[in-house]
Amino acid sequence: MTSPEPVSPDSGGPPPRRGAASPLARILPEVDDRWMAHWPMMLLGLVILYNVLPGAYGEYVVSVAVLGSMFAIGALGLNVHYGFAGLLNFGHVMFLMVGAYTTALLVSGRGMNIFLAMLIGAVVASVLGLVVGAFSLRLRTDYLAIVTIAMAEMGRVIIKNSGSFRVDPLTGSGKTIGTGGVFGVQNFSSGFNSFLDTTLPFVNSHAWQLFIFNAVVITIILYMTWTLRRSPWGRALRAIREDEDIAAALGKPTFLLKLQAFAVGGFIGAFAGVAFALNNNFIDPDTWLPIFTFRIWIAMIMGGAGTIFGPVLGAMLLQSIFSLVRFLPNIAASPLFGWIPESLVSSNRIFALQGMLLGLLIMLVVIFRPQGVLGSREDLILEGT
Amino acid sequence: MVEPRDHTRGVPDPILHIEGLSKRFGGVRAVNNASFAVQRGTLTSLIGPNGAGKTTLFNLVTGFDRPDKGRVHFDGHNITGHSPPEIARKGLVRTFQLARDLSRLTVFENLLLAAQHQKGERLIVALVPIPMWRSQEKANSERAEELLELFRLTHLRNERAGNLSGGQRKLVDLARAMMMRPSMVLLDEPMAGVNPTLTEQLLERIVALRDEGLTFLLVEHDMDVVMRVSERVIVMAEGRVIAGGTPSEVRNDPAVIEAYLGVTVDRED
Ligand SMILES: Nc1ncnc2c1ncn2[C@@H]1O[C@H](COP(=O)(O)OP(=O)(O)OP(=O)(O)O)[C@@H](O)[C@H]1O
Ligand SMILES: [Mg+2]
Repeated sequence: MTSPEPVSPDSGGPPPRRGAASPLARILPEVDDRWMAHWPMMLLGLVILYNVLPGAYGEYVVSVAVLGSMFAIGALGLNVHYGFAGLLNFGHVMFLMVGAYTTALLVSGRGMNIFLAMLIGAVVASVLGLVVGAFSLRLRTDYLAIVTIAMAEMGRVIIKNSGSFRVDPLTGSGKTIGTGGVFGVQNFSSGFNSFLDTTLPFVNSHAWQLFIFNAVVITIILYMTWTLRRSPWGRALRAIREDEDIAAALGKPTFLLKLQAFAVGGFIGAFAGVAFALNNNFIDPDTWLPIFTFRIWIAMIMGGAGTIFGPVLGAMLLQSIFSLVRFLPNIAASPLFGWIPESLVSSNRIFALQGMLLGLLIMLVVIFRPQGVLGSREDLILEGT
Repeated sequence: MVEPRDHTRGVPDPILHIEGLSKRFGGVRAVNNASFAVQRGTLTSLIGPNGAGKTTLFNLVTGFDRPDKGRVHFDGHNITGHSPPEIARKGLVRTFQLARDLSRLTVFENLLLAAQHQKGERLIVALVPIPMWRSQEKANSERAEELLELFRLTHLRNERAGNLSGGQRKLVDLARAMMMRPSMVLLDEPMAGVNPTLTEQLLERIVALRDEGLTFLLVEHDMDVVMRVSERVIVMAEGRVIAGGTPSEVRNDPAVIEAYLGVTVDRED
């Protein structure tokens, strides 16, 4: 056999994909880069909405976006687990909880710089990921789901019952930094808020300040996940997601790669917990119920697991729908909807209504767009062939 | 270099050596006290009726199953009980009987993935925004293009592997194995489902690679092919290695005829 002639990438076969003509595209694997357009568009949309809506409504929309962005960060972390590596993590909230508690306690108990505390919180969460992963990632995927959900619940219950320990293992000085047990931790946001005020003096809305902070975090994470996704590391994870045996037969250290993905997703997830804590200036154990994890799951699936921007889009959509439910009592009070019994949509039913809506959304997504808004239909069809 | 070889006379230099390998599944002795050696640079065939234990033996050798008993030596190392990726990285590479591709990756990505020692597969490197792995990726891409050409897959380069036919997948599997620059390849029925013309080309390719020094252990049901290309043939039946030798020795072995035809042939010894 003579040495093969150089081959043009477009000789026959299926049409070349987007960007396949550029020399870079021949080297770099094909990765979803639509986020670079979608994310600025979403930010612009929010600014426009804020400006066209009357005052209080605009403020409300931004507060919804703050919550949505917090879920977006959580979903971006989960996307590394499930979207990239296929890991069924049903206890994602544990990473948020650990990130939030570590940060809140370091700031309130030791007066640490908020950003240093945040970083430590994320590192602690990824170490937790390594520990949990070390004994659960060798299990079959369905067992992983059970172990993670159990770990998250155990952690929550431990924190709930741990208020009385109040020991400081770092100094032994007797200064107490307990988790606060059932009472939670509060008053740790002031440093963060004054940081926002000094860096964003021209933004006089606190909701906007929080949102801008979250948006910066999201931008960094989007860039990071995109960088990872297009790297050979990301490709190896995709291979594991497809068929772990094949990846192993090709010499990929599958366990190590899954462990790394678990830690990276946990690191990202911690920031969602931190954002949540800073937003409320208060956390307690019951913030981190399993339903929190499920909301993050739905956000990710709705937007498109395995895409770069899907988790953000899904989280924002989900939060918008959720927030609209809050207006149901007002809507029902209007003459047009007088036929809706008031008891059905009274404000104390909103939580139940949101739960029902969550179920309905899951069904709608699974039936009509199982690959998510940004996911590819082809990917879904090829799964498991 | 394309001299015909006769390893039966040369100094033995086994690259793979298995000793007393056994594996039970419940009551089935899938592999029963199997021992043999494969000489470096040869094309050895492993034959036997359906259910003889050939695939199970491959699984034991490549770490996908743990043997109940016995040892596997590869290239001077005891690799018994090692994990599949460890064994693959040592240069002992396998393909699967049922072609298993990474469906949602393109054919090209399937090949690129198989390249070994990729810098960019280390998390630290992958996290750096400037792709420091790009030059290596470029070199790997060139090799992948060559292999695509060699295996007549260039027109399928950007197709998702899940959209390929069974025969095409087999080709991708083989090309992907070659991408790993192995020193020995275990092929589990690589020609099953591939059309005759392509089968001939595949065989040519395999023989050419053998002549370049690569070692093959081939599971194949087509006796014509086996007798034509192999230097040694190992025969399994019901988990046991019942015969081994040159193609002509094996063809006339009464035990082999019995295993294949289910009739007893009078033995002289
Ligand atoms: N995981 C398993 N669990 C139970 N039994 C198994 C398992 N794998 C293989 N066996 C049994 O072991 C025996 C050998 O099977 P194996 O697949 O190794 O045969 P083979 O020689 O590859 O056959 P073929 O030529 O049909 O591919 C069969 O009886 C099979 O049913
Ligand atoms: Mg078999």
